[in-house]
Parts: sequence; structure tokens; C-alpha cells
Amino acid sequence: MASAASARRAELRQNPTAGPLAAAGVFFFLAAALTYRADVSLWLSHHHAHVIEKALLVLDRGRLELIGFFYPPLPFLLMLSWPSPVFAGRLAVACGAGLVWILTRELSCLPFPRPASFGLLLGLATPTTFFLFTQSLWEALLLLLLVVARTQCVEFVSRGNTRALFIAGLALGLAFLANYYVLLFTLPYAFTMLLFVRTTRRGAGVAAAFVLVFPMVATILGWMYLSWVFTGEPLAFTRDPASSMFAFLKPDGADLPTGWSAALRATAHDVRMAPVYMVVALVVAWYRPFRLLTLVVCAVFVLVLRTFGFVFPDYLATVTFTVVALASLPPRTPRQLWPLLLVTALLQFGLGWALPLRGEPAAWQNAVTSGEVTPEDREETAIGQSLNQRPARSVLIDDRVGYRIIARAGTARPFLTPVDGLYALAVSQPARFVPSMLAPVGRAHVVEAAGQSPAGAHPGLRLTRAWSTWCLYESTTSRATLGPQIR
Amino acid sequence: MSATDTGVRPRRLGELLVERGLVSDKDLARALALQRRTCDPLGGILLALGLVRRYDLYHTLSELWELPFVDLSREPADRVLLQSLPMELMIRERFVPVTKAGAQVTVAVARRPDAALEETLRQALGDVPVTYRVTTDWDIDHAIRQTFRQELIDGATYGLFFRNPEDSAHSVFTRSQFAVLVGGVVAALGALYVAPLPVLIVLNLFISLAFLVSIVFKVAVSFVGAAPERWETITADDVTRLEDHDLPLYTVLVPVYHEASVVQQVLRNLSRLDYPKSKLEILILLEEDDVDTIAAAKAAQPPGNVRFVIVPDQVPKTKPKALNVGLYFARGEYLVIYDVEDRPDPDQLKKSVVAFRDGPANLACVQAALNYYNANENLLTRMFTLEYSYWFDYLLPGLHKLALPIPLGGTSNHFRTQILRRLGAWDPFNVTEDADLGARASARGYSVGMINSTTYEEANRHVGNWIRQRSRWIKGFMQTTLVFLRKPAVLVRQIGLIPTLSFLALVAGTPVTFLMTVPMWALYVTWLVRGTNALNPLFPPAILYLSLFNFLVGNMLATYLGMLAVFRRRQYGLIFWALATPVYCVLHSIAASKAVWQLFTRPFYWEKTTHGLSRVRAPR
Repeated sequence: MASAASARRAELRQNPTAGPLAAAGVFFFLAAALTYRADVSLWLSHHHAHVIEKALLVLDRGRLELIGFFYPPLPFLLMLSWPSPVFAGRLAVACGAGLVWILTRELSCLPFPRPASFGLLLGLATPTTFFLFTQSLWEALLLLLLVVARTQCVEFVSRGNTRALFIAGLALGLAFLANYYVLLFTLPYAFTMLLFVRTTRRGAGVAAAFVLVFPMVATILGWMYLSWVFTGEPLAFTRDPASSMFAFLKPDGADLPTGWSAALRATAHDVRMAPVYMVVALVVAWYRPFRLLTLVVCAVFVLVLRTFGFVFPDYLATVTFTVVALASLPPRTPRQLWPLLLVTALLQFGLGWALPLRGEPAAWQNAVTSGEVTPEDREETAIGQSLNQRPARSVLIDDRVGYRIIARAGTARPFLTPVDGLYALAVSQPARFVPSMLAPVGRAHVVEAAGQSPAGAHPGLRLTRAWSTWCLYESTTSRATLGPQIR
Repeated sequence: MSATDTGVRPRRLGELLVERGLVSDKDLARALALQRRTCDPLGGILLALGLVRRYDLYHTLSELWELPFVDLSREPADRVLLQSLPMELMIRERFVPVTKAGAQVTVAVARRPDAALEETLRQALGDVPVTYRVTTDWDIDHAIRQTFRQELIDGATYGLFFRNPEDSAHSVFTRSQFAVLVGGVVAALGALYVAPLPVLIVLNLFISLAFLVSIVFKVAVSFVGAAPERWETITADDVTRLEDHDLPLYTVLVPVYHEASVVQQVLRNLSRLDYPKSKLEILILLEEDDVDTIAAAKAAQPPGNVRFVIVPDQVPKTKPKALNVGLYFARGEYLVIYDVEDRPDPDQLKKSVVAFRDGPANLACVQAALNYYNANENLLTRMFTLEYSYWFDYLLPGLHKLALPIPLGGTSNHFRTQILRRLGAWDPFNVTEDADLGARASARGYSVGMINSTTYEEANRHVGNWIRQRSRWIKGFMQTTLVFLRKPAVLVRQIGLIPTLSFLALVAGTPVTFLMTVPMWALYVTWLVRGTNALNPLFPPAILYLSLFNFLVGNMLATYLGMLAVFRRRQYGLIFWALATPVYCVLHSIAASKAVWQLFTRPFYWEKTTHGLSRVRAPR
């Protein structure tokens, strides 16, 4: 018995794939269960709703450019094959499993007992991590690609593997199609090349940095070009509500810190929520001080971004700090430090579960733990399901606020949205051009008793159904036949 | 009664030469020291080191062998008698029959007659008494070239064609290919007349797919080739372990045409080769009508291991034809081709020997990398260097690792001579005879490998000269494609589907994508400048997205591959020039247009590349 267990341990130690695969598998199982739970609870994140809605639009209309070159495109393109909350969740879970696999391989190289090395991953086993890797595909892709780039950079610096350097560059370029923050993370990567590439030939560090930066710059310029070609504005994608970098444009922007003091408080809070990050920083400062730069710059960037009004959610900050920390542990970290690191990871695990979340992650956590469907989610789903059998282009809706409805409907066919050429006309005279109009409560109309035309509403429309957040108006005449005539 | 029977020590060549004042004691000592390492005949060593004149050596050998000497320039051999024997036999065994008097035949030899030679002569001439005379190996070769002039030229020109017409680019198009081409053009024109828009859309789709396949293929193969373990296939220790006496005779073919000013440079470059001179046979291939270069070559007074092979004047006047003539006189177990401006790494031949000895029996050829010593001269040389570094340091190693057909480079191809002859040697009608030979080797079940050694050349610094050179290469790729697609099903059966597709992607895809580059850029610039919507119908959604992908991602990846090229050789200063890749591709497109024109009008015309234009002095 004992010999069999020892042999198994020896086998796991010699076979670097078994442990990482196992860890990735455990993560995948847990996270997939959470996506199922969220789906049963009809919970849907804003980001996934945006992406699903855009994918449904493209699939129905048959043209990519109609969506105004939605950004980030990578999650959206992935969703084209199956635009549904389940698939979006699974993709995010897959990213998380991939990241766990990579991190586990890196941690396996530490001179720690194997359980201790794997135990460090507990620092990631928190609700914020599971939220990110089940409900935020673009951030999941960003972190996965950043870690891929990092490991490949290390491979280049330590072993001169040129192919690894180019894979890192491509990963960073691809990451821009998932999230714009890669732009800032690329800078420390490139700087690392200048610092750590050792060679007798001049220019090696500069060349390596250029290799890292080029794909990302090309991607940015390419996306700006596409945006200009199809919308006339190269930076239109920065203002899209789904992608907006700016706190004041986000749907839940009120919760996001801006300004120096608020940013500092928020960033300090996020660092405190990631004790693994702090302890690893101390370890690196003691044993590999040169590498401390890459750790510190991470927090500094987050602080600077928030100061200038850019969005960097707290859950993303905490997870990013932890991932960067785990990936930055030097391979020659002294063995006697494993208890300290493991305890820190456990502490972070406990903090993550003990302290309440805020904003969207809190709502998600409530949904998956209680299994209850919130009234808002139930209502959205009901609205979407009630409209998805309507004739094509028969329901006027602004998808910039109604994206969740369309995502719930599972099809964009019934809806006339801003991407359609007739939208502007329909908005000016909805009764003439569409049979129905769905408008949010408190925006342009006042809720009236059912059956009456809303005060100030367009003539020819009457309120037929009212929910707590939406109103459905139907045309009072039969002249509104534009919708059924479209395709 | 032999000298040993009488107790008298037999005379030795070295002593005789010193006695006659033809070689000094010091030179003899040097040659003997080399002989102890190489175990080669002393005469060959003295010739290779340039310590004795050929005529004097063989005169002395005739005395040593106790045979009379014959000067074939004054007593020419009987042509009829010569022509009664196979040319290849006489070249190999180094003899020519001179005269026949009654039943007795006089044979001039450049080696000591032995039992093996006697048996060979008996089989060739029959049971006739033979008397021997000694002559020089040059005279033997010269007599053979004079007598078999027409056979040489016919064999060199039409040998491959007569052996297997389908292997030769002598016919640019076969009947079926021509029928398909004409039929395709007629059908396309008819379809354009009937339904122009759908036809143009289909054409656009084809072009877009060609670009996509090309870039994806090159990225994938290059990343395979970038694996670190490919970098040192043969180490310095492998080379050091070789013993001089164990090395085989190596033939170097150097075709030279209108290069009188660089002949000295050629000889100087080849003298740097780290290979026993007595085991090195250098054949300078000179065209008969190139009197200036012939005179310059003779004036250079090369050492004895360098011989001139005069190629009879006949069209097509191409490098592969000259090589085929030279191959007749090649005696080496291995053979390599160098161009006139080449500076190979000194240990290249030894690395090649290691590669062949360690490689499988079907390894027909190993290719060394080519690169340039004047990389930083101007934009064109920089781009050329990036291109070659990428091609030889990443793409070809990737093809090798994936066991896909390798299109050989123009020089520094090392062959097993026997296999080269078996393959039919070079096709004189193909202007990229190297790429053609590499493909033919794969088709016949042989393998082509790479060695980690470099030959440095002069990169073209002049745009016009570059376009002439590049148009020839692209034309040759087209010729090679046409030859190997004569029976596509047979090719697939011979080498497999994936290698066939790889061959098409590289050899056929390259000219296609180059050809389409300028037209596509023209369409784009027209749209950009005029803002016209007239082109919109040509780009339905799927094709539009594909074209945009090629335009943005394809160009980015092509530039990225250019950046990859700098790392193997640490030419970091060139990395930023990779950004000019799209511009460089436009030059390729111009060359490709010229190539297509010449394919139909002058398919065998060899655009001669002018050398010696660089202002950068070649390193000594």
C-alpha cells in the first residue's frame, strides 16, 4: 500500500502533466457547476448579455460590420457558434481551467512538497475568481492570454527560445481583441525584455521588446482601421457601453472609483484582499529584487487607471494580483517558505469567502448560492421569451439599453435595432413603421394604465403591457407593416 | 626482376622530383606531412598544393612507372578508337586509347596500371595486347571533351528529357495542361461575358483563399522550424572527430559566365575550405564563348586540384546545362555547387560529410543556409537578407522537420554524386533547376536535409538587377509546378497528399500570391483614394471579411515572420526593417508579372544576375 502511494507520488512528480491536468479538471468541474447553477437561476452578467446580443444580431442580419465593430471582438466571435449564456459561461470556465493548468505547471517547478504547491492555488479559489471565470469572458481571456505570454517570455529569457517570444507577442496581440488593458500590461513585458535579455549582441533586448509590442500595436491599429472603415470613427469602440473603458459610461459606473484618493483606497483594498500578492512581493524583494518591478507595476497601473477614470473592477484587480503573484514566484524560492505561502493562500481563501462582494459579483453569488431567481431576471426572461416569436423587425428597441432583453430572447430577429438602416425612421414615427415598441421605464415615457396612450408618447401607440422596468407599446393602426415585410 | 629483388630500394616520387629540381625539400616535407594525415597519393597532394606543375609531375611519374610519356596535344588520340568506348568509363578510369596498330592498342593513362585497370581494359577492348603510355589527367579529359563534344552537349541538354520527358521542363505545357489552360481561359471569358459579377467574385474568393493558405502555411512551418533543437544539428565536435584520411573525394562545381573580374575571388574563397586539398576536386565550368573569363581563369594560375571544364557553346545556355557537363567529369563521392561570389563556411564540406554519414541511405542532398555579407548596404539588401534568413533558418528547417519537400537553394547543395546521377541531374530547361531537383528527389523517394552551415553571398543592391533575378526564380517555380502537376495523382501516390499540398502551397502558391499582390493593392488604393462604392459588389460579406483578414492579419504575420528572421543570426539591427515587408512584396509582384510574361515568350531564357555591384568589400 505505502509503496503504491509512493510510486504514485513519484509518478506524479515525474509526470508534469498529471497534476496540472487534475487541478484544471477540478476547477473546470466546480466552475461548470456554478455556471449551471447561474443558468438555472436565470442569472446573466452584463458582459455576457452584451456579447450574446451582438452575436445574435450578426447571425440574424448576416453582416459583421452592422454591429459597429463591437469591441472586444474576441468573446463575440467565439460566441457566434452558440450565442447562449451556457456557452459563454463554459468558455470562461475553459479559460480558467487553462489558466489553472499553466499556473499549476509553474508551481510544480517550486521545490515545495507537491500538495503545498497545489495548495497555493487556494488563493484563487474564491468567489471573485469563480465569478470572473464564469461570468466575464473577456476578462477571463485577458488573464489567460497574459499568463500564456508571461510563461513564454520567461521561456525566452531563460532558455533563448525564440519561438516562445513570438508566441508571447501573438498572445498579447490576441489579448487586445479580448480586453484593452493588455495595452498596459504589454509595457512591463516589453520592459522585462530590456532588463533581462542577456546576450553579447547589442540590440537583443530592444528587438525582443519590439517583437512583444508589434502584434498588439498592429491589432490596435487594425481595429481602429476597421472601426473607421465601417463607422467613420476610429475610436468608436471605446464608447460602446459593452466595452467602455470609462467609469462614467459603465451601466454600474457609480460603484467604480475615480480620482486619486478613491483610486488609492480602492487599490489598497484590493491589495489587502490579495495577501498572496503581498507575501510573494516580499519573497521576491528578498530573493529576486530585480523581479519585484513586474509585481509592483501591476498595482501601480491599476491605481493610475482608476485615477484617470478608467474602469478596473475590484474583483478583476484582486484576481489579477493573485495570478501575477503566483506566476512570479521564483523557481528557486527556498523550500522552507512553503508553510508561510500556504498559510497566506489559506488566509486569502478565507477572506474571499468571508467578506461580502459588491456589485455584480454579489448578485451572482446570491444567485448561485440561494438558487433563487430574482424578480428582475424573471421579468427580463419573460419579456424576452414573449417577444422572440414576433415577426421579423416588428419590435423597436434600443439595444444599447435593451441588450439583456435580446439576449434573453435568444434571437434578434423580431427586433429593430440601431444597426438597422430603418431604425432612425422608426424612432421618429414608430407607429408608422413598427407594430411594437419596447421602451424602458423612466426613460422617455411615463407608465400609464394599460390600454391608454402614454402621455407624451408617439401617437398611434398604446401601452399594452407594463413590467417593472419595461413597457411594451403596440401600434393602434394596421399601417405599421414594416416589420413583417422585412425578410 | 624488381628493384627489391636486387636489393635496391625503389625510387620514390618525391625524391625524383627533388632530384630534378621540380620540388624543394621544404615543399616535399610539407606534402609528406599532409600525406601522413590524408593517406593520399603524394602526386595528388603536390598538385593540390600547387607545388608542382601537372606536366612535370606526370612526366616524372612516367619515369617512375617506367612507361613512356605521351603529350596528347601533340599526338592526339585516334577519334574513332576513342568513340568506340563509353565516355563515362574513360573519365572514371582515367585512360584513353591512343592508337591501334594491328591487334595492339596503345592506351594513355593517368594512373599506374594495375590488375583492375587491366581487367577493365580487357572487358572494354577485348583480349588484345595493350601498351601503356603516361599522360596528364587534364589531357585525358580534354581529349574526351574534344571527341565527345556533341555527346556531352546532348547528354547535358537532353539527357533528362530523353530519360523521362515528363521530368523535364523542355515542354512548358503538356498537351493536356495546354488544353486545360486554353479551355479554362475560354470558359472564364465566356462566363465573364454571361455573368461577370459572379465570375469576378469567384476569382476574388480564390485569390483571398490563396493568400490565407499561404500565410497560415508559412507561419505554421516557420514556428516548427524555430524550435531550438534544430539549431545545432552538427556540432564542432562532430567535425573534429573526422579523420583526414577517412574523408572522401569531394567535387566542387562552380559555373562561371562573364565573371572575369571575380575569378580570383572565387579561387580565394574556395581556398578557405577546411578540407584536404588532395581530396578536393574543384571544377570551374566555363562557357566556350566566354573568352575573357577563360583567360582570367588561366591567368589566375590555380592549384592543381582546380580544373577547367569548357562547356560547349549551345543553347540553352544555362547554369544547369553547365552543371550537367561538369557532372560528367566529377569523381567525388559527394558534390557541391557554389556560385562565383559564394563564401562558404570553411567547415561546410565536413559538416556535409557528417550529415551524409549519419543520415539515412536515401538522403540525397543536404542544403546549407545562404545569407549575405552586405546585408546593411541599402534597403533592398536588408530585405533580401531578412528574406533569406527567414527562408533558410526557419522555413526550410520547418519543412525538414515535418518531412515535407524542400525546394533547394541555388547553391550550397551537397549531393551524393551517385544519387544525383540516378535522379537525372539538373534540368537545363528549368531556370530554377535547384527547386526542381529538390522536388524530384522527394518524388523519387529520396530525402533532402539541412546542415547548420552558411554560405555568404552578395545581396543584390540594385532594384533592376534584383527584379531580373527574382523574375527568373519565380518563372522557375512556375516551371517546376507545371512539371510536377503533369500527373498530380501519381505525385500524390509517390509522396503523399500532405507533402503534395505543401509543395503546391510553397512552389505554386508563391508565384500566385506575388502575382496578385499589386492588383489587390491597386483595388485597395483606388477605393481609398476615390471612396468609390463600385467595388462593393466584388466583396460580398464573407469575401470582404476574408480580404480584411488577409489585409490586416496577413500583412501583420508576414511582417512578423520577417522579424523572426533576425534572431537565429542575431542580426537584431535588421528587425525594424521588417516593417517594409509589404513594400518588398510589391517588388515581388512586379517580378512575378515579368515571370509570367517570360514563361510564355522566353521560357528558357536565363536572366543573368550581375555580380560585383556591392560597394561593401567581401570579408577576406
